[in-house]
Amino acid sequence: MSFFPSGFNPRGAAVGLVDLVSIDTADGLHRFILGGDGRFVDVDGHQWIGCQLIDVPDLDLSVQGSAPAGSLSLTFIPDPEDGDLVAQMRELGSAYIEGRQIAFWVQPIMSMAEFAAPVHPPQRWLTRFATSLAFDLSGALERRITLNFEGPSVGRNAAPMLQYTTGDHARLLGAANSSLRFMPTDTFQEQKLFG
Amino acid sequence: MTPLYAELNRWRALPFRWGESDCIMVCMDWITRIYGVDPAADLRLTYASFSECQRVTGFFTRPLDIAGPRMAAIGLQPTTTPVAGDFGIVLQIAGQGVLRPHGALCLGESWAVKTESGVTAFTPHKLLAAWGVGYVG
Repeated sequence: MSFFPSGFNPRGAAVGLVDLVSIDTADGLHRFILGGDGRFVDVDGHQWIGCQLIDVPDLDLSVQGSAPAGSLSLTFIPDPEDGDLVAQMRELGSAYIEGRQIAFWVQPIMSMAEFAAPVHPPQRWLTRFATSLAFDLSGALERRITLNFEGPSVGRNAAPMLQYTTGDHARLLGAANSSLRFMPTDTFQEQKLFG
Repeated sequence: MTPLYAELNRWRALPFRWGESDCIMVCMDWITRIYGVDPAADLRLTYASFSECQRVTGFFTRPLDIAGPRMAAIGLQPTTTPVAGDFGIVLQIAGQGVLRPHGALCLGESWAVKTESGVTAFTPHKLLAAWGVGYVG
């Protein structure tokens, strides 16, 4: 079974992959092309907007117990006649994106014609979850809005720090459960049971 | 976003390359877009470093000698009251008391310049000359 759709030969003479990202927000899903300008319409009719102002540093995979975090930033020079985008994003707050999916995709391309008429759907290769928004005055003119995200397995490689008590048991199960109410709390034995 | 600020964001996305996307060439791109004629068509890709720029164009010692005739040749008029979108040559301190000319785009009160470290805007130390480009925001 291949990651790529059937009919796409990753070792073919002409192979292209377009990096895409979709960001889920309270207003719905927004789709972008990474690293290039333009507009791309996929086989399902979804429109992906390209913007060179979006930057995503290297993305790590969740392997060997790691839960890599990352960020996606929009660095731009604001037009004073256009309103303050940073203020608008601040007003929306992190609740606008927190916990929502950020999915990274690749669009397989086998010929130039497929930029206008794609044959294969985008392939999802990475899913992350938004955690926070940050704002920078990154230069005399520039402003930067950074969307921080992390992998789905955050905290799973750490000790849960739960005890064998009815309280922690309920916390683990998500509902009250009294089955640990007689759980011994020490290992003292008054007399040997065996031997 | 107005075309003027869209152009500044385009500058930001471009790497700084001498002879291709330096402070003068990005302004020439803007003039070409607004006015329809490229004043620096014969200069593009003829130099690839700071020193080559000086050797080929003499820009750092006689900036107006290279800019003035080219603006006149395509019919752009000098102006003493530049407005947003106009092109100018500004002098700005480049460290250690060195003043250096830059090609700049008028934003109204300040001038935008593409430098090796990005796009910035400032009130220049001195405006050497400016030409009306005819941009209407």
